[in-house]
Amino acid sequence: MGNTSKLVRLITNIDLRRRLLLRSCLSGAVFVSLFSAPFGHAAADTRSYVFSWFYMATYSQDGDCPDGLNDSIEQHFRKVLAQLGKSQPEIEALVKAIPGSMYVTLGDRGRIDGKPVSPYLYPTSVPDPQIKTLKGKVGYGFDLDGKDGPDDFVDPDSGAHGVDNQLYRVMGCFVPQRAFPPDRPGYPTAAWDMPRDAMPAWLLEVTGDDLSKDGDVTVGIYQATAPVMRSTDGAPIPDTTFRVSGDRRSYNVVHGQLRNGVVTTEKFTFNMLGDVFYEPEFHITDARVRLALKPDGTARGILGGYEDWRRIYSSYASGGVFNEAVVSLDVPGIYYALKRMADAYPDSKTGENAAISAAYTIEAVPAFIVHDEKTAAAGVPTQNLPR
Amino acid sequence: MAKKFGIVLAFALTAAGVAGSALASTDVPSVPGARLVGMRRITQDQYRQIIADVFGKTIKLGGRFEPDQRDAGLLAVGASQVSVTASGFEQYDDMARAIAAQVVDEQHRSVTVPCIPRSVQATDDACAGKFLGSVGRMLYRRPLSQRELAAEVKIASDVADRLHDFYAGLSMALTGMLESAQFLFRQEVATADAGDPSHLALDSYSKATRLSFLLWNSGPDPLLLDAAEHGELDTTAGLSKQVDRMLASPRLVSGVRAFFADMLGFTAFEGLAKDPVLYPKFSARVAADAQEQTLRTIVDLLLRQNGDYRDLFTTQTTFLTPLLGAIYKIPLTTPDDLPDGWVRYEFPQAAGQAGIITQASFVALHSQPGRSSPTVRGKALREVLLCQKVPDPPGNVNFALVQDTSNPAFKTARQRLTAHRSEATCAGCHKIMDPIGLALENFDTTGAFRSLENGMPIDVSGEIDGLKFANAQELGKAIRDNPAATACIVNRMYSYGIGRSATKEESSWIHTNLSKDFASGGYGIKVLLRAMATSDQFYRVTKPEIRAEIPTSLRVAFEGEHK
Repeated sequence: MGNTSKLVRLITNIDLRRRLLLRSCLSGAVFVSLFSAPFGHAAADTRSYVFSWFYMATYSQDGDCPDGLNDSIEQHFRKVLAQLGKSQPEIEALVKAIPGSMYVTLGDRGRIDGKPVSPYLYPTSVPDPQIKTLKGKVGYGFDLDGKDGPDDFVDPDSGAHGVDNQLYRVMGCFVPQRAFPPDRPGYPTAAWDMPRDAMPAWLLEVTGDDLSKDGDVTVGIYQATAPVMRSTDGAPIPDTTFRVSGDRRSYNVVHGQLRNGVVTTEKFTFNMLGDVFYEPEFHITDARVRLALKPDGTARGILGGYEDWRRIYSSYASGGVFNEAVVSLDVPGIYYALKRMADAYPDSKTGENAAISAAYTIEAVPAFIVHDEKTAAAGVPTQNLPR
Repeated sequence: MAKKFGIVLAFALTAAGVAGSALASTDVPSVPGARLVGMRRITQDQYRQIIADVFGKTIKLGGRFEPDQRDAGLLAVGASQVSVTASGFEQYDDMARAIAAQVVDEQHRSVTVPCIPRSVQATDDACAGKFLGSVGRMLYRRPLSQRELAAEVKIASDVADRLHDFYAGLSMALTGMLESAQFLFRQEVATADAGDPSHLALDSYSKATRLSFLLWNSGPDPLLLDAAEHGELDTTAGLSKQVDRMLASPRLVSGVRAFFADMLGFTAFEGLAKDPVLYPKFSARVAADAQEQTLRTIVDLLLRQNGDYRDLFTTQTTFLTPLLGAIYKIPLTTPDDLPDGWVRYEFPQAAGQAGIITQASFVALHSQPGRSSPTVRGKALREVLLCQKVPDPPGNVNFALVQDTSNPAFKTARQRLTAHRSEATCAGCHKIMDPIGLALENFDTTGAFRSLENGMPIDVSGEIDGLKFANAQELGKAIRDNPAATACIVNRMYSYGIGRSATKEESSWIHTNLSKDFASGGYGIKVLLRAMATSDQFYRVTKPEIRAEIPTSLRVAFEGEHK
């Protein structure tokens, strides 16, 4: 048995060397920097991935919404109709006419000077519905402010206290946003899935001297020039090859540490272009990544940091009545909650916080990443880029 | 044989009846001594190719074809054994009508019809005759007899008269030709062989047809038909001139691709599936790319490089798409301006690749949906590439042990098969299949490389015909150097060309002549094709036992008729 184990290890090493050799044999017009870290580090070991999932990290548990879950579509509609002064027979008739009646009613229920307006463009044109927010104590993320306050979570993976993730508190009691890992929440799954064939893939690259040991690493997160190719189950096909786009709006490189197979980065500013249907653009400050490099070749982890809550709101607002009538969200309610629960970057004049803490789950499958010469030359840390 | 003939006759009569043709009339004189010695239904690919050659690539084909039949390892041989069923005829009818309608529509007629009728609302026998005569020559692969042409023109005229539409008449006549036996079946006619009274020899048009389908997988072009008409194919110089012209044509690629796709059994990809849970990477697109990879590898080595056929079992040069790159787990991008997404790729030796036998088209095709199969792969290596028949398994074999990949006592396929072979009834055949199939165990059922199975290292060593090898690459080298491999391709190619297995007499000729030419020519495929296509033997026919003259209803044009 002992001999067999040695042989397995030997062959595994041969497999690794074989793959490294394969990588080294690439030729042609493209400069492949699969070995070399961005900007010329003499690192010997690189693992590269393509994102298969990136969305607000959820850790839904019984009892984490003690005030109950937010309204269903019909409940929400009834409340809106009552606020608009509809009589009960009128409410019943309109509810019976769902979903058509919702589209004509919800979309202009705001009132400014008595005139109907879009509640998505003018969220304060409707009263704060006081959506129910998550009160649980366990949630993913990082201690961004160095404090352990009453609203902070304990991270279920790292065990860290003082975890800041107010975005999860805002969204965590909407049914379509709830899931316990490894399950994914329902609607976000669709939102992530639908742009897959059009949105250029997101890439992840971890480089170090020897990734089988603890040590310094460099983490790169880039956007590819092309979308993922999908397998028969709809997921990205592992082991496909991507070129890095080099677009600085989607080019992140940060130093990190590998400990016991888990990479944790320093703070950086995460920038990434998305898709209008999913999230047009991410800009997360004070970001950091915790990433487990799994033996099966995949990676899973968390990216956390602060986001401009108005940017988050605008994403929901652009979905407008669809997000309410189909996804069962309360968009103006999200506006009020984001504003109320934002926890960082206070405005110097108003004192209102401009940013909200957030955490996103990363799941990634193995891929090959190709940096062409132009991209490599452009490889400078994003935190140093003028914005 | 008589039964098959009756089916064909019935089909021909049906076809003629549908088109309202007088092709079945009995007043066509026969030519003494002429024999119908072979009929082969054109394959799906040949049908498509002919329509594209005659009418252009913009003509769309709808409908479904009857499945082709494989016999003696080749569809080309099976084509001699099949007729057309009633439902199949409906499909041919649908396709014929759709094609004919497109050929004469306003978009195409200026190109496809060589004349302008006096009126589009009336008959014009001269114009109709010109069109039907020229098209008929290409579709029937010989000129139409005067009587045949007159019958077709009459159909066109009758319909045009009735519908007040010249092109509707053309369309109807063309439909009849496209669903006729003369088009759908390659009819080979032979006459007495002047140099050998014990044999018959194909007539000029049948020679042209056999030659064209061998080299181009399509019917003869006008130049070849002209050569046949002028008797040039009956002279050594004339035949050589045409063969050399055809070997130099880019259309040779189609012919070589068709042969290898047939030999390698690629039609089986139509029903190939992998367990989507275990192998989500594998899709219909991957299957299509895998076939194309192998065909591009073959065309590049054998035609562009004029390489040695045997090197197909050792070459590291291939062509890949990014999708195949994912299957092989290699980094692969294609230049943005590459039109078809394929790039030339050189596998490093460390990749363990051994030419076409480790490509996905082979290892995936000869595997089970959820696991590899050394036995199936070994059988394919023997039967497909070495032409060595492996007996079918007995009906009562218990495969449970082999199929259980989760049995902790037998983690690798080698362990499972070793246990399976302990049954005496299985041992004999497995002994000739498993050792070579196990050499490919580094490639899973999709073609992806692996070193372990269920955590256990995979042993890929073995032996073939007494020669030991350590891995797939050494197996590829052993096959390369195995005389059975070159003998196999020669025999397959000959059978492919004549549409049946070689007789004992022919096998002897193949061994003493063709194989030697192949070897002395450095095992180049063009050398083999030329040697075959320029030989008398390739066009020689053993006298059939049934000495019936050609039924007049199936008459093809003979020299005295159309001259």
